[in-house]
Amino acid sequence: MFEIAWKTLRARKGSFAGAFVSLLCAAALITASGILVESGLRSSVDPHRYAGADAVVDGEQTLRLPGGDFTVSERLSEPVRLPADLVGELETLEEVDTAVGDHHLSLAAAAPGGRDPVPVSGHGWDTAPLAPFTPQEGRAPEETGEVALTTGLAEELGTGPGETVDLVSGAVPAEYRVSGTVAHQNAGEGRGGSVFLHPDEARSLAQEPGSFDAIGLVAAPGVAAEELTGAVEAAAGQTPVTVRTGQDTSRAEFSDVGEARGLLLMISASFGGLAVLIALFVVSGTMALSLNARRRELAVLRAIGSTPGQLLRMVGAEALLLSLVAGLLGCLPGILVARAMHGAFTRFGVLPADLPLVVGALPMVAAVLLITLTALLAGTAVALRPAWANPVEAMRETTPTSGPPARWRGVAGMVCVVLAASAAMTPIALRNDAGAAGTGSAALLLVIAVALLGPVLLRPLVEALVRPLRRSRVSGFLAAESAGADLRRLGGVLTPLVLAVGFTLSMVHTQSVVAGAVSGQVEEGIGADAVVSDTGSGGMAPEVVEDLAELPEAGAVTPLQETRLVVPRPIFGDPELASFSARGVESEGLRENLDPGLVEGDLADLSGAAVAMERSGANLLGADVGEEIDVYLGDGTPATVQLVATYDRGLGLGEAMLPEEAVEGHTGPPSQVLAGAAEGVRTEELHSALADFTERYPTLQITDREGFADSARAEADLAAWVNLTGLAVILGYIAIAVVNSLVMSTTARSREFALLRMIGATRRQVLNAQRWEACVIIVLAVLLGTLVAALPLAVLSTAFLGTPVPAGSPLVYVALVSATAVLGYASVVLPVRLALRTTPTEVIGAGD
Amino acid sequence: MGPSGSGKSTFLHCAAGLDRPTSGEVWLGQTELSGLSENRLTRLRRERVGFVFQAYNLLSALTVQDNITMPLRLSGTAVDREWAEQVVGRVGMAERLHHRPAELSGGQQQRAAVARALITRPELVLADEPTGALDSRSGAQVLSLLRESADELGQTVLMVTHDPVAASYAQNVLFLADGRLVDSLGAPTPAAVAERISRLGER
Repeated sequence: MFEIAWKTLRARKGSFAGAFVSLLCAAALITASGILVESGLRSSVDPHRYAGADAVVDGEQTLRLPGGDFTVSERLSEPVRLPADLVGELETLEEVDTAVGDHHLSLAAAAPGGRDPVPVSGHGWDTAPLAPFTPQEGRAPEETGEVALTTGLAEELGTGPGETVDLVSGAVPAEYRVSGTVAHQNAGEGRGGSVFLHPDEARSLAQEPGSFDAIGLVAAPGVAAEELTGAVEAAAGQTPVTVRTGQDTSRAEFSDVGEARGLLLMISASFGGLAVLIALFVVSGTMALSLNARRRELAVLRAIGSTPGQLLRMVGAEALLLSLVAGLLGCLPGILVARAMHGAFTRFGVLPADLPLVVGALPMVAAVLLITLTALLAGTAVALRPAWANPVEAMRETTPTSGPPARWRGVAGMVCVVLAASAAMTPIALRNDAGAAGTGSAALLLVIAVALLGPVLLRPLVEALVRPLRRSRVSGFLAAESAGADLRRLGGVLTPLVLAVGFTLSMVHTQSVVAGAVSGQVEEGIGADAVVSDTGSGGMAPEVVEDLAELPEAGAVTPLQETRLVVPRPIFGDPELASFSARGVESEGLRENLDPGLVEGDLADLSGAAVAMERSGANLLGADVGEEIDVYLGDGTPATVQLVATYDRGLGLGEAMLPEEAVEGHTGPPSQVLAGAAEGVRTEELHSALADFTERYPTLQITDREGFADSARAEADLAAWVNLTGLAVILGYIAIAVVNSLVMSTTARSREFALLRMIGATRRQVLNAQRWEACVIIVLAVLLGTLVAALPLAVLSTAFLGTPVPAGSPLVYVALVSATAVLGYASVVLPVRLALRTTPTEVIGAGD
Repeated sequence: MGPSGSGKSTFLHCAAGLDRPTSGEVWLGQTELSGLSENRLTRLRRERVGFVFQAYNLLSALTVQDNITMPLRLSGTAVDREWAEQVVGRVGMAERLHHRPAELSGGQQQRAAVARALITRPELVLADEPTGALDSRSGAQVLSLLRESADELGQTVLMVTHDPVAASYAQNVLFLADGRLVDSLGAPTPAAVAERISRLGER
């Protein structure tokens, strides 16, 4: 069986080329998403500051629900710290040689008089052995007020032992004496500069002086990693801890690595899901196209006595061989695609530059398996009809094109339409990024529905479209007749084009609608005249905010603490977690600075254990104003808060607001402060007063409403870039699929062109007929693609912007339509030109 | 007629201007074909030559009627209704004008192809093994049709075949071997044709 299949493949390279290309690209795409997923799960960075530690203990950074399975988890937005006395307890263990508690201080350093402080990480000198760091010049910090800098940082700041340096903590600058420079014994500078303070000083600068961010351990001689882990876990008892050993210690060192991995996993899951879906969709389409072109051959095989079973096995064997070879070859470009995407994500700042890609065998095996399985299934499904057809019937001149479409297609198509409708409605129910994602899914489902409903849907459209063409004598007439005659083929060719148009439109405009909504809400919702934000010193200490509030020019001052709120939410009885962006606010003066667009309740009640939520978020939780909600704060602490108000502008201002006192101790200091001008003070006067103010606090920056909108949009913008990267890759794949299917279907018609020429059609007449047909295809694709995107986008836009016309540049649409037209036209006309080069007698004589 | 590889189809293609002879001249009526451009040849083909092939004669997307009138459409000539009705009636496809090829039997498709060949009143109808893919009954119908068009409409028909029975429908049989005309036979019968063929094989 495989021998015959192999010979068939070799003998008819041409007709398999299309399927091969499609399979190869699908394998590449799936490999790429697989590599991203695997990197999200396993990628790690070499530990630097903890390189010399045998184990590092830190708090449980993941919130899990009691009784929930492992998928029900949420990464906490705030660091979970360990009690300080745990260090002492661990020190007494006989498996442990030394235990050192470490504070992760977010500081900014500047040479005296220098502006632009650089963000550095600060630690107590007692943690130096964990790397280990040793003094190079000068000596270690021996008293408070002294600091040691890594050599690179000292060079960057232009300072050295005996000189001074300004360290900014919580926006408050202080002058320190540089005691010396230090260097890592076994590695270079690592990611960037670190500063080492006297341990007492480190403790006093820590947000929670009574606790540590992590505890580094050096094992007693001869103690293995597992032993150490077991002993530490036993000693920690009730305190939930994570013990990391070996390479994993970097996860305690670089909190962004864990975040980035989570993000990568999320990106790759959504991109990968789409990519796999589209790849499999295209593969099954191409397999159908390629087998349809070979119906006659299958009929011959039936006629010479193959049983339907044998025929199916043969088709299966071909599909298997083809997809195995294509799959294996597709893995390599897959790695390249993954590298390119990883590079793009790093450039956008989504991933830290030192987080490497993990290229393992697993994604490739999965890719080959997936496409092989799809090719097998699609191939045999298409071959079922010819395999069981009466061979005499099948041998007849022309391939049967009529016959009612299978009933399952109609049913499946309607199911897709229903699913699409419900996906399209999610932005109404959930007015955030997650809700907006429903729009893309709806468009995709509609494309699948178009593919499934094919002929039924296309018949009236094609009829209406080709009516004017029929008036033309030859070319238009031929184009009209052949477009209308084989709707199944037309559907097969059309689907990838509709996918390209619909998918791109929905993705691009979803981003612009969300971005537009964010800007609009910030514009309307921020009443403050100025926004002061801290850059890189870990937020603003209370005294800085007070200092700001005491400015005579300043009126109401509202510090904003950014955090997240996680709320358990059972879905059909299963525990699930919903996560909301949240802000801690001071309710006094809130209304002057912030107008979230109150729907119900009163923001004045926002004190104590209270929360205000964006309307759809509250709806999602099924909570009414006045009800109490059980929540988890940013650091995983459970709390019960009363819903006191619901509001509209969640996209711009955050999905939840809590009073300052509710989040106190569960999140960091405010990174932004909204300031209004005092009565009778003009905005410019406030701004100039603030400019003087920030002279004293070098890490502070003044922006206005637009700056705030930018920072509110930063995350959405980042997400947009990430999505666009994925979109570009998927579009590249779809473009290949479009060209592929058009070339395949046109090439399969060379006999028709030859016949036309034999009975007296000129080359020009044949070519023109195909040009018209290409135009019909392009118009249909743009029409259907626009439709599948426009319907869900109208819902999204109505929900987010209040108008059914989605935001976004019309240039995108123009560009997209042009690209579709060029690609579609070229993919039809070039193969026709090629086919017209051979003499018709050769084509007709060739049998086939 | 002649054995496989004797040059029958090449001869036919040259006669139709589909292929150019390496030497010699091709005259169709008063026109010498070798000097004509591709476009002139195409025009000549659709106006003065009718074609019936062994199989795949019809465009699957078009109805029988559109297939039959396609050559007129290509040349932009108006349909002569009376003639069209006569031709369609003669091939017995009047009832099936609005069917598509996929809905017809092989014999019906070939008869529609004959009608298409006749519709332009060509100087010459070329038939390349027109019954090769048909059962004997349908084959006989198509052959009778070709012979009738010669007898009753005065249509010149040049048919290539290797079937002695098919050849017996002709008025004159020319025999080809190794690319040369080697023999001819008037008023052929299947037996006489078969006997000549077997002699060809002996040479």
